[in-house]
Amino acid sequence: MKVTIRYAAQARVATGVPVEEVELDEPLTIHDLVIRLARQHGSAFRRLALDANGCPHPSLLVAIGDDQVRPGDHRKVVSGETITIITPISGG
Amino acid sequence: MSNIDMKSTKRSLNARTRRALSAEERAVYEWQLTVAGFGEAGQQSLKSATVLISRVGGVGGVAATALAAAGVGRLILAHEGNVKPSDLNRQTLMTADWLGKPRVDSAARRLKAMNPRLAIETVNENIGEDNVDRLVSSADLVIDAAPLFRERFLLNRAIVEQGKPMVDSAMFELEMQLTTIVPGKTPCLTCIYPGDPPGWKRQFPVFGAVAATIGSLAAMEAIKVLSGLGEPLLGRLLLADLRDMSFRTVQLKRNIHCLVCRDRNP
Repeated sequence: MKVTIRYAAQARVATGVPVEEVELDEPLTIHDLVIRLARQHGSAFRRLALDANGCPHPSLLVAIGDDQVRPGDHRKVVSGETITIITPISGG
Repeated sequence: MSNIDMKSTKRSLNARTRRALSAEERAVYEWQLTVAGFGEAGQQSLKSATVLISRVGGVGGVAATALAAAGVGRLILAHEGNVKPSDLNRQTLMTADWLGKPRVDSAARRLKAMNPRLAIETVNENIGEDNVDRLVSSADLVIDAAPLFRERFLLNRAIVEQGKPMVDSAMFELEMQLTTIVPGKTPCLTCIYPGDPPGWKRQFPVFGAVAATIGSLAAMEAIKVLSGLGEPLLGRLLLADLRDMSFRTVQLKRNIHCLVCRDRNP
Protein backbone atom coordinates (compact mmCIF):
# COMPACT_ATOMS: atom_id res chain seq x y z
CA MET A 1 0.00 0.00 0.00
CA LYS A 2 1.08 3.56 -0.71
CA VAL A 3 0.59 6.67 1.39
CA THR A 4 1.62 10.24 0.70
CA ILE A 5 3.65 12.10 3.31
CA ARG A 6 3.82 15.88 3.32
CA TYR A 7 6.42 17.66 5.44
CA ALA A 8 5.99 21.25 6.63
CA ALA A 9 8.27 23.85 8.24
CA GLN A 10 11.47 22.44 9.80
CA ALA A 11 10.34 18.89 8.95
CA ARG A 12 10.50 19.83 5.27
CA VAL A 13 13.96 21.33 5.71
CA ALA A 14 15.22 18.34 7.73
CA THR A 15 13.96 15.71 5.27
CA GLY A 16 14.81 17.79 2.22
CA VAL A 17 11.51 16.93 0.56
CA PRO A 18 8.13 18.64 0.73
CA VAL A 19 6.24 15.50 -0.26
CA GLU A 20 6.98 11.83 -0.90
CA GLU A 21 5.13 8.59 -1.54
CA VAL A 22 5.94 5.79 0.86
CA GLU A 23 5.30 2.10 0.17
CA LEU A 24 4.22 0.16 3.24
CA ASP A 25 4.22 -3.66 3.41
CA GLU A 26 1.40 -3.54 5.94
CA PRO A 27 -0.82 -0.87 7.49
CA LEU A 28 1.11 1.02 10.17
CA THR A 29 -0.17 3.07 13.07
CA ILE A 30 0.67 6.77 13.10
CA HIS A 31 3.03 6.00 15.99
CA ASP A 32 4.92 3.38 13.96
CA LEU A 33 4.80 5.40 10.76
CA VAL A 34 6.53 8.38 12.41
CA ILE A 35 9.25 6.05 13.75
CA ARG A 36 9.66 4.45 10.33
CA LEU A 37 10.01 7.88 8.67
CA ALA A 38 12.49 9.00 11.33
CA ARG A 39 14.66 5.96 10.54
CA GLN A 40 14.33 6.53 6.80
CA HIS A 41 15.52 10.14 6.96
CA GLY A 42 18.68 11.59 8.52
CA SER A 43 19.55 12.60 12.04
CA ALA A 44 18.20 16.15 11.60
CA PHE A 45 14.67 14.80 11.11
CA ARG A 46 15.11 12.15 13.80
CA ARG A 47 15.89 14.90 16.32
CA LEU A 48 12.64 16.66 15.41
CA ALA A 49 10.45 13.58 15.18
CA LEU A 50 11.49 11.39 18.11
CA ASP A 51 11.85 12.03 21.82
CA ALA A 52 14.65 10.72 24.06
CA ASN A 53 12.87 7.36 24.32
CA GLY A 54 12.64 6.93 20.55
CA CYS A 55 8.89 7.59 20.52
CA PRO A 56 7.15 10.20 18.33
CA HIS A 57 7.76 13.64 19.84
CA PRO A 58 4.50 14.94 21.38
CA SER A 59 5.06 18.40 19.89
CA LEU A 60 4.88 17.12 16.33
CA LEU A 61 1.61 18.08 14.70
CA VAL A 62 0.31 15.28 12.50
CA ALA A 63 -2.75 15.33 10.24
CA ILE A 64 -4.39 12.59 8.25
CA GLY A 65 -6.10 14.40 5.43
CA ASP A 66 -7.44 17.52 7.11
CA ASP A 67 -7.81 16.11 10.63
CA GLN A 68 -5.25 16.31 13.42
CA VAL A 69 -4.13 13.05 15.03
CA ARG A 70 -1.76 12.63 17.95
CA PRO A 71 1.77 11.66 16.84
CA GLY A 72 1.59 8.63 19.13
CA ASP A 73 -1.87 7.64 17.87
CA HIS A 74 -2.51 3.96 17.22
CA ARG A 75 -4.94 4.62 14.39
CA LYS A 76 -3.70 2.76 11.30
CA VAL A 77 -3.17 4.62 8.06
CA VAL A 78 -5.09 3.47 5.00
CA SER A 79 -3.78 3.10 1.47
CA GLY A 80 -4.07 6.37 -0.45
CA GLU A 81 -4.18 8.62 2.61
CA THR A 82 -2.11 11.79 2.89
CA ILE A 83 -0.32 12.34 6.17
CA THR A 84 1.11 15.78 6.96
CA ILE A 85 3.91 16.15 9.49
CA ILE A 86 4.28 19.67 10.85
CA THR A 87 6.75 21.07 13.34
CA PRO A 88 5.82 23.98 15.62
CA ILE A 89 6.80 27.43 14.39
CA SER A 90 6.43 30.88 15.93
CA GLY A 91 6.39 34.59 15.27
CA GLY A 92 9.20 37.09 15.09
CA MET B 1 -16.00 24.20 8.55
CA SER B 2 -15.67 24.32 12.32
CA ASN B 3 -18.27 22.46 14.35
CA ILE B 4 -17.89 24.96 17.21
CA ASP B 5 -21.02 26.93 18.13
CA MET B 6 -20.29 30.24 16.41
CA LYS B 7 -23.47 32.02 17.47
CA SER B 8 -22.80 31.69 21.19
CA THR B 9 -19.14 32.54 20.65
CA LYS B 10 -20.06 35.75 18.83
CA ARG B 11 -22.62 36.68 21.48
CA SER B 12 -20.17 36.21 24.33
CA LEU B 13 -17.41 38.13 22.54
CA ASN B 14 -19.69 41.04 21.73
CA ALA B 15 -21.17 41.51 25.16
CA ARG B 16 -19.01 44.58 25.83
CA THR B 17 -20.58 48.03 25.81
CA ARG B 18 -20.05 49.60 22.39
CA ARG B 19 -18.89 53.20 22.06
CA ALA B 20 -20.66 55.42 19.53
CA LEU B 21 -18.81 56.70 16.44
CA SER B 22 -18.00 60.35 15.81
CA ALA B 23 -18.59 62.02 12.45
CA GLU B 24 -14.83 61.95 11.86
CA GLU B 25 -14.74 58.21 12.48
CA ARG B 26 -17.64 57.59 10.12
CA ALA B 27 -15.70 59.44 7.44
CA VAL B 28 -12.44 57.56 8.07
CA TYR B 29 -14.05 54.13 8.11
CA GLU B 30 -16.67 54.57 5.38
CA TRP B 31 -15.03 51.98 3.08
CA GLN B 32 -15.32 49.21 5.68
CA LEU B 33 -18.63 50.33 7.23
CA THR B 34 -20.39 48.98 4.15
CA VAL B 35 -18.91 45.46 4.48
CA ALA B 36 -21.86 43.08 4.78
CA GLY B 37 -22.25 41.82 8.33
CA PHE B 38 -19.95 44.49 9.79
CA GLY B 39 -21.56 47.94 9.67
CA GLU B 40 -21.69 50.55 12.40
CA ALA B 41 -22.10 47.94 15.15
CA GLY B 42 -18.91 46.18 14.03
CA GLN B 43 -17.01 49.47 13.94
CA GLN B 44 -18.26 50.34 17.41
CA SER B 45 -17.03 46.95 18.64
CA LEU B 46 -13.55 47.68 17.29
CA LYS B 47 -13.55 51.17 18.81
CA SER B 48 -14.49 49.71 22.19
CA ALA B 49 -11.82 46.99 22.11
CA THR B 50 -8.34 46.67 23.57
CA VAL B 51 -5.92 44.28 21.86
CA LEU B 52 -2.68 43.08 23.43
CA ILE B 53 0.01 42.31 20.85
CA SER B 54 2.90 40.22 22.08
CA ARG B 55 5.86 41.59 20.10
CA VAL B 56 5.50 44.17 17.37
CA GLY B 57 8.11 42.71 15.05
CA GLY B 58 7.50 41.34 11.58
CA VAL B 59 4.14 39.72 12.37
CA GLY B 60 2.86 41.78 15.29
CA GLY B 61 3.88 45.10 13.76
CA VAL B 62 1.80 44.47 10.66
CA ALA B 63 -1.08 43.21 12.79
CA ALA B 64 -0.86 46.39 14.88
CA THR B 65 -0.85 48.54 11.74
CA ALA B 66 -3.94 46.82 10.34
CA LEU B 67 -5.80 47.06 13.65
CA ALA B 68 -4.86 50.73 14.08
CA ALA B 69 -6.07 51.44 10.55
CA ALA B 70 -9.28 49.48 11.15
CA GLY B 71 -10.16 51.58 14.19
CA VAL B 72 -9.44 49.36 17.19
CA GLY B 73 -9.66 51.73 20.14
CA ARG B 74 -6.65 50.70 22.21
CA LEU B 75 -3.51 48.64 21.62
CA ILE B 76 -1.10 47.29 24.22
CA LEU B 77 2.28 46.71 22.57
CA ALA B 78 4.68 44.46 24.49
CA HIS B 79 8.17 44.13 23.06
CA GLU B 80 11.49 44.51 24.82
CA GLY B 81 14.60 46.05 23.35
CA ASN B 82 15.90 48.47 20.77
CA VAL B 83 15.71 48.46 16.98
CA LYS B 84 18.54 46.45 15.36
CA PRO B 85 19.64 46.38 11.71
CA SER B 86 18.44 42.76 11.40
CA ASP B 87 14.90 43.87 12.33
CA LEU B 88 14.54 45.96 9.21
CA ASN B 89 13.90 43.16 6.69
CA ARG B 90 10.43 42.57 8.18
CA GLN B 91 9.60 44.87 11.12
CA THR B 92 7.80 47.57 9.18
CA LEU B 93 7.04 49.75 12.22
CA MET B 94 10.80 50.19 12.73
CA THR B 95 12.85 52.64 10.72
CA ALA B 96 16.55 53.08 10.02
CA ASP B 97 16.59 56.43 11.83
CA TRP B 98 15.35 54.67 15.00
CA LEU B 99 18.23 52.15 15.26
CA GLY B 100 19.31 51.75 18.88
CA LYS B 101 16.08 53.20 20.27
CA PRO B 102 13.13 51.28 21.80
CA ARG B 103 11.04 49.26 19.36
CA VAL B 104 7.76 49.99 21.14
CA ASP B 105 8.37 53.75 20.89
CA SER B 106 9.03 53.44 17.16
CA ALA B 107 5.85 51.41 16.77
CA ALA B 108 3.76 53.85 18.81
CA ARG B 109 4.90 56.97 16.95
CA ARG B 110 4.13 55.43 13.57
CA LEU B 111 0.73 54.06 14.60
CA LYS B 112 -0.26 57.39 16.16
CA ALA B 113 0.78 59.23 12.99
CA MET B 114 -1.67 57.06 11.06
CA ASN B 115 -4.45 57.07 13.66
CA PRO B 116 -4.24 59.87 16.27
CA ARG B 117 -7.46 58.62 17.91
CA LEU B 118 -5.75 55.34 18.85
CA ALA B 119 -4.84 54.83 22.53
CA ILE B 120 -1.56 52.95 22.95
CA GLU B 121 0.10 51.45 26.01
CA THR B 122 3.74 50.63 25.31
CA VAL B 123 5.46 47.98 27.41
CA ASN B 124 9.22 47.73 26.87
CA GLU B 125 9.17 44.13 28.08
CA ASN B 126 8.45 40.76 26.54
CA ILE B 127 5.72 38.59 28.01
CA GLY B 128 6.95 37.03 31.24
CA GLU B 129 5.69 35.58 34.52
CA ASP B 130 5.70 39.05 36.08
CA ASN B 131 3.52 40.85 33.54
CA VAL B 132 1.43 38.28 31.69
CA ASP B 133 -1.61 38.21 33.98
CA ARG B 134 -1.91 42.01 34.17
CA LEU B 135 -1.45 42.51 30.44
CA VAL B 136 -3.95 39.83 29.46
CA SER B 137 -6.49 41.12 31.99
CA SER B 138 -6.25 44.59 30.38
CA ALA B 139 -7.15 43.27 26.93
CA ASP B 140 -10.25 41.94 25.19
CA LEU B 141 -8.18 39.87 22.76
CA VAL B 142 -4.54 38.84 22.43
CA ILE B 143 -2.41 38.45 19.32
CA ASP B 144 0.50 36.10 19.90
CA ALA B 145 3.35 36.96 17.55
CA ALA B 146 6.28 36.08 19.80
CA PRO B 147 9.24 34.02 18.61
CA LEU B 148 9.87 32.19 21.88
CA PHE B 149 7.66 29.31 22.96
CA ARG B 150 8.15 30.26 26.62
CA GLU B 151 6.26 33.51 25.95
CA ARG B 152 3.65 31.76 23.83
CA PHE B 153 2.88 29.17 26.49
CA LEU B 154 2.68 31.85 29.22
CA LEU B 155 0.16 33.78 27.13
CA ASN B 156 -1.79 30.60 26.46
CA ARG B 157 -2.03 29.78 30.16
CA ALA B 158 -3.18 33.32 31.00
CA ILE B 159 -5.83 33.52 28.26
CA VAL B 160 -7.23 30.13 29.28
CA GLU B 161 -7.39 31.19 32.95
CA GLN B 162 -9.01 34.53 32.08
CA GLY B 163 -11.23 33.28 29.26
CA LYS B 164 -9.81 35.69 26.65
CA PRO B 165 -9.58 34.90 22.93
CA MET B 166 -6.14 34.71 21.34
CA VAL B 167 -5.03 34.72 17.72
CA ASP B 168 -1.89 32.61 17.44
CA SER B 169 0.32 33.38 14.46
CA ALA B 170 3.54 31.79 13.26
CA MET B 171 5.86 31.70 10.25
CA PHE B 172 8.93 29.92 8.89
CA GLU B 173 10.62 30.57 5.54
CA LEU B 174 7.55 30.94 3.24
CA GLU B 175 5.17 28.98 5.48
CA MET B 176 2.58 30.26 7.93
CA GLN B 177 0.31 28.88 10.63
CA LEU B 178 -2.67 30.62 12.21
CA THR B 179 -5.41 29.63 14.61
CA THR B 180 -7.81 31.39 16.96
CA ILE B 181 -8.16 30.08 20.48
CA VAL B 182 -11.32 30.71 22.47
CA PRO B 183 -10.98 29.08 25.90
CA GLY B 184 -13.75 26.63 26.64
CA LYS B 185 -14.62 26.30 22.96
CA THR B 186 -11.43 25.39 21.11
CA PRO B 187 -8.21 23.49 21.72
CA CYS B 188 -5.61 25.71 23.38
CA LEU B 189 -2.00 26.14 22.23
CA THR B 190 -0.81 23.43 24.62
CA CYS B 191 -3.39 21.02 23.16
CA ILE B 192 -1.68 21.55 19.80
CA TYR B 193 1.92 21.66 21.03
CA PRO B 194 2.25 20.23 24.56
CA GLY B 195 5.80 21.41 25.13
CA ASP B 196 8.87 23.14 23.78
CA PRO B 197 9.58 21.84 20.30
CA PRO B 198 12.96 20.19 19.85
CA GLY B 199 15.63 22.18 18.07
CA TRP B 200 13.73 25.46 17.89
CA LYS B 201 16.00 28.45 17.30
CA ARG B 202 15.22 32.06 18.19
CA GLN B 203 16.34 33.22 14.74
CA PHE B 204 14.90 31.48 11.71
CA PRO B 205 14.74 32.14 7.97
CA VAL B 206 11.83 34.29 6.78
CA PHE B 207 10.92 37.06 4.36
CA GLY B 208 9.28 40.29 5.43
CA ALA B 209 6.48 39.66 2.94
CA VAL B 210 5.67 36.40 4.73
CA ALA B 211 5.59 38.20 8.08
CA ALA B 212 3.34 40.87 6.58
CA THR B 213 0.97 38.26 5.16
CA ILE B 214 0.53 36.37 8.41
CA GLY B 215 0.33 39.64 10.36
CA SER B 216 -2.52 40.80 8.13
CA LEU B 217 -4.30 37.46 8.47
CA ALA B 218 -3.93 37.64 12.25
CA ALA B 219 -5.39 41.15 12.26
CA MET B 220 -8.33 39.99 10.16
CA GLU B 221 -8.98 37.17 12.62
CA ALA B 222 -8.94 39.71 15.47
CA ILE B 223 -11.37 41.98 13.61
CA LYS B 224 -13.69 39.02 12.96
CA VAL B 225 -13.65 37.86 16.58
CA LEU B 226 -14.15 41.36 18.01
CA SER B 227 -16.94 42.33 15.62
CA GLY B 228 -18.66 38.97 15.17
CA LEU B 229 -17.93 38.97 11.44
CA GLY B 230 -17.49 35.79 9.41
CA GLU B 231 -16.08 32.54 10.75
CA PRO B 232 -12.79 32.76 12.64
CA LEU B 233 -10.37 29.83 12.67
CA LEU B 234 -11.93 28.31 15.79
CA GLY B 235 -10.56 24.82 16.27
CA ARG B 236 -8.90 24.99 12.88
CA LEU B 237 -5.26 25.61 11.99
CA LEU B 238 -4.51 27.45 8.78
CA LEU B 239 -1.46 26.04 7.01
CA ALA B 240 -0.25 28.24 4.18
CA ASP B 241 2.82 27.96 1.99
CA LEU B 242 3.64 30.93 -0.22
CA ARG B 243 6.05 28.78 -2.28
CA ASP B 244 3.06 27.38 -4.14
CA MET B 245 0.36 29.67 -2.69
CA SER B 246 -1.38 26.72 -1.04
CA PHE B 247 -3.83 27.44 1.78
CA ARG B 248 -5.59 24.69 3.75
CA THR B 249 -6.99 24.18 7.22
CA VAL B 250 -6.57 21.24 9.59
CA GLN B 251 -9.29 20.44 12.10
CA LEU B 252 -7.66 20.51 15.53
CA LYS B 253 -8.46 18.15 18.40
CA ARG B 254 -8.67 19.01 22.06
CA ASN B 255 -6.23 17.09 24.19
CA ILE B 256 -8.33 15.75 27.06
CA HIS B 257 -5.11 15.41 29.07
CA CYS B 258 -3.97 19.00 28.36
CA LEU B 259 -2.35 20.37 31.51
CA VAL B 260 -3.60 23.90 30.76
CA CYS B 261 -7.23 23.57 29.63
CA ARG B 262 -8.45 20.08 30.56
CA ASP B 263 -10.48 21.43 33.51
CA ARG B 264 -11.89 24.39 31.59
CA ASN B 265 -13.22 22.83 28.43
CA PRO B 266 -16.68 21.23 28.40
